[in-house]
Amino acid sequence: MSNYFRKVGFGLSHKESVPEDPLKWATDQFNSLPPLSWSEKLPSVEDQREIFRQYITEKEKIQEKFGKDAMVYESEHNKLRNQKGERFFQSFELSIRHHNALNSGAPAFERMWHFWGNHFSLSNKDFISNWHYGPYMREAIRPSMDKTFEEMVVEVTTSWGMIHHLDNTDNIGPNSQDGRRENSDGDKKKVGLNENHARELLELHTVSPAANYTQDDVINMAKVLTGWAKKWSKKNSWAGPLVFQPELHEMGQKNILGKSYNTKENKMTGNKQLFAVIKDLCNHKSCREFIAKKLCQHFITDEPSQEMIDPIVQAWVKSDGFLPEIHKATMKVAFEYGNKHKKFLMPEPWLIQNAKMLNFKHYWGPDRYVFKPGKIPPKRERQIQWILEDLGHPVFKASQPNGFIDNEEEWTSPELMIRRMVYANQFQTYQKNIKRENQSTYDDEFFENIIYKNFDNPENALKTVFSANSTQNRFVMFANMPEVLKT
Amino acid sequence: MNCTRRSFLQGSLATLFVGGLNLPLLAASVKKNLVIISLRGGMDGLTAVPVIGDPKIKSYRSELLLDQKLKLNSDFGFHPKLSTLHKLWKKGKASVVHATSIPYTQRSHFDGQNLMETGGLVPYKEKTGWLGRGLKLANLDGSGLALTLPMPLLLRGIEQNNNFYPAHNSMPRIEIVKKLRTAYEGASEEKLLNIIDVIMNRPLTMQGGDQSLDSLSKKASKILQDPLGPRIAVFDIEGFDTHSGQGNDEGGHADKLQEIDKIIKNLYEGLGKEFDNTLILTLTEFGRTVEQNGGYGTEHGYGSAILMAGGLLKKSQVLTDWPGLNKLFENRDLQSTIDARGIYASAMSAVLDLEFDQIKKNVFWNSDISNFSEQLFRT
Repeated sequence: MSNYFRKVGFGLSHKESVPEDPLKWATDQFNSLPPLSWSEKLPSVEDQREIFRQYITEKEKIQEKFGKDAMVYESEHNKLRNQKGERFFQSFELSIRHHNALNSGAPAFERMWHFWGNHFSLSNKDFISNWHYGPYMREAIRPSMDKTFEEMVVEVTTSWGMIHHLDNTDNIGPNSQDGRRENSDGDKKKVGLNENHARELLELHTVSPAANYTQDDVINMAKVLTGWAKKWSKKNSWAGPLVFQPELHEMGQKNILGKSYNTKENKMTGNKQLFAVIKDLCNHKSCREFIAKKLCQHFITDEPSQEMIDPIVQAWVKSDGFLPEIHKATMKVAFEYGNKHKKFLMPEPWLIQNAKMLNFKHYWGPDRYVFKPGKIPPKRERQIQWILEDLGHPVFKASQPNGFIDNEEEWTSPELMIRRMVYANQFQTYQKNIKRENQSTYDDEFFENIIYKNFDNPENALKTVFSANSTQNRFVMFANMPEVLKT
Repeated sequence: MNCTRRSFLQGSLATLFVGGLNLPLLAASVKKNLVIISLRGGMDGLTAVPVIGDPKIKSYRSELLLDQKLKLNSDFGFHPKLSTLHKLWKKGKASVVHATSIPYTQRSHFDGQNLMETGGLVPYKEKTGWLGRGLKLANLDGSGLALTLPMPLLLRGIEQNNNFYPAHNSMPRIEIVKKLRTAYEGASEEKLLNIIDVIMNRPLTMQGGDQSLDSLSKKASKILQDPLGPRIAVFDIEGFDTHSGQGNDEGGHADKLQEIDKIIKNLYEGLGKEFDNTLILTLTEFGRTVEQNGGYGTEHGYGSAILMAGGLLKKSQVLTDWPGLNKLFENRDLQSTIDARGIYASAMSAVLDLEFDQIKKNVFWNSDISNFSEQLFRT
């Protein structure tokens, strides 16, 4: 069962002892929310909205003032970027994420946190990756992992980041108070529905296309979502706070997937209507099946069988969608089926696993990260961001709202495999970020230690690693052998 | 076979490789190239190729109308950012198919892009791309090249495709790569083995450069010129999903069109006389609503346009069965009157020297698609 520590976590380090009961080791991690292992005060969604607000409003001024001279504009814009941390916050947040993965003591929980962050992905619109993704992960996703799936969906759907990147601020009821006024003014642009958020809420976040919803359902969903918008003001421009605004909300009855909302019998309207719809979406059979399958695909295999999916669905039904129970059921299924099925790892978990087992540190820790407004961050500080970009997995910069695709086909092209070799070739140099007394001597015993702990077939793995002689080359062999690429 | 001119990507540049690839025998005729540019997010056909002859457009999108248009004929123009394409139009080397789409009307990016690449009718059902299957049919293993980091679904279905998107650091020494190959062989990891063989046989042209579309398209024109190199290049441009700030002559959509034009410009200048044996073709998952939305943008729609360039075109033309703007699809979208898969199949027929019917049968499951080879391409 040694593979299991890599299958649901990041493997065991050379210093860690082997847990006696691997399944209990995994499921216990979901009993409570593990605290973040980065003790310094971290920016909140509101902190980052404010700094982002300053960035965009000052950028507009620079554009107005220097827009005609591209060179001057460029240099003024760069000053502003450094002043507001555009080059700082992404690598800072990635470092927090990886530091936590390696040090929180609950690696399976951290893997699950990353899973939900990708499920409810914010695609990289308007620099959202720089200022917003980290706080979103900490405030919308992580605390919800101790609640029900429904509560998580509510939290995410009404979060600033999701509303912003899926354009819901542009989603205005044509018959709402503001909509009627705007549309009656012939000179003004017309306002109306924007289906983007509605579609993704159905397709990606909850019931999936398996629920067979129609275009009418999407339009009705969009109507339900009207009013959830960033509050515009001259000072805030389009970086205003998220407020439910009844004056934008489309009144009247809405029908989604065969259910009616705000009828004569049930008068639910305004912001409450969204909660009622989300409740029904989360209790839809297709939603449970879709999420359970995705969990199996993440931890076990690209093509999970119905037998793997069923226990997770059952745990969901039994606990009324309580996420800790769903997570524990997933751990159990991964334990039972993990021996027979292999999962090709996406680059980020692969990188973190290597860091854990080979004892290197590809980022700066809390002790060294300080935001100095106006300064260009040192290259070594930003390294983690570039590594992930080069590996093809910049986790805060998904190009589309469906996040990163979690299957082998997606990650096994020549160039992506080259990247893994290229970075494995660098791994040894990342030792210098570790305090001298914690660095390892990479003798034969070191490799034997980590391989016996983490692999069900240690003899094969050892043979592969020892076919190279230098530490650098042994790292390349280790990181790229089939046993590490696939858990 | 001793491929002395092939060496390994940055891996001690002097190291030479004994290739294990079976290169396809070149047909007696010239090598023809197909370049695909995937326009992700849904390109607005009415912005790229504005309709001049239909005044009704003004009532739908007053803020998105273009001031400048590069005139093609009495009915259509090009967006001003498509200036290279317009130049090629005047030389008889650019064409448009308008009011066209894959037969998919559900307006989801993910499902739509999946079908745009697989050529299927049910999202996620097919696991291979239409181009991959076409190359397989033409027996052209190893002739696909993606200028993207992930391998696009479009090219899947054939072994040993390559992709090129240069990294910033250096490869391990070649001895180590060989040892990895041994490990994959020992573990019977066929897939990993295939990939490592492709990596070990990379030509010299596939080194250096950066990740910009400018650099990649210059690189691609070098690689495509190689008579033994890939015949297919696939680019990705993202960001056509302009729900807000779509703009007109300038703006979100204009910037994206400029990127298409830049790729075409670099290929035209870089390929030299080989441009005459090349066809460039754009794909997109759907068009956008005819009417503008509340945010100076457009929503997901249906019919769009296909842009084409290259010397394999018969002449410059706008091929369309124009549905008009009076009757919109579901009262919102430009209708699609030409199944785009018919264009894809005709293009493959022209470039890969395969019979259209053969492609229709083996690549598109005998779907009801029309043959445009005679009309559009030089044979």
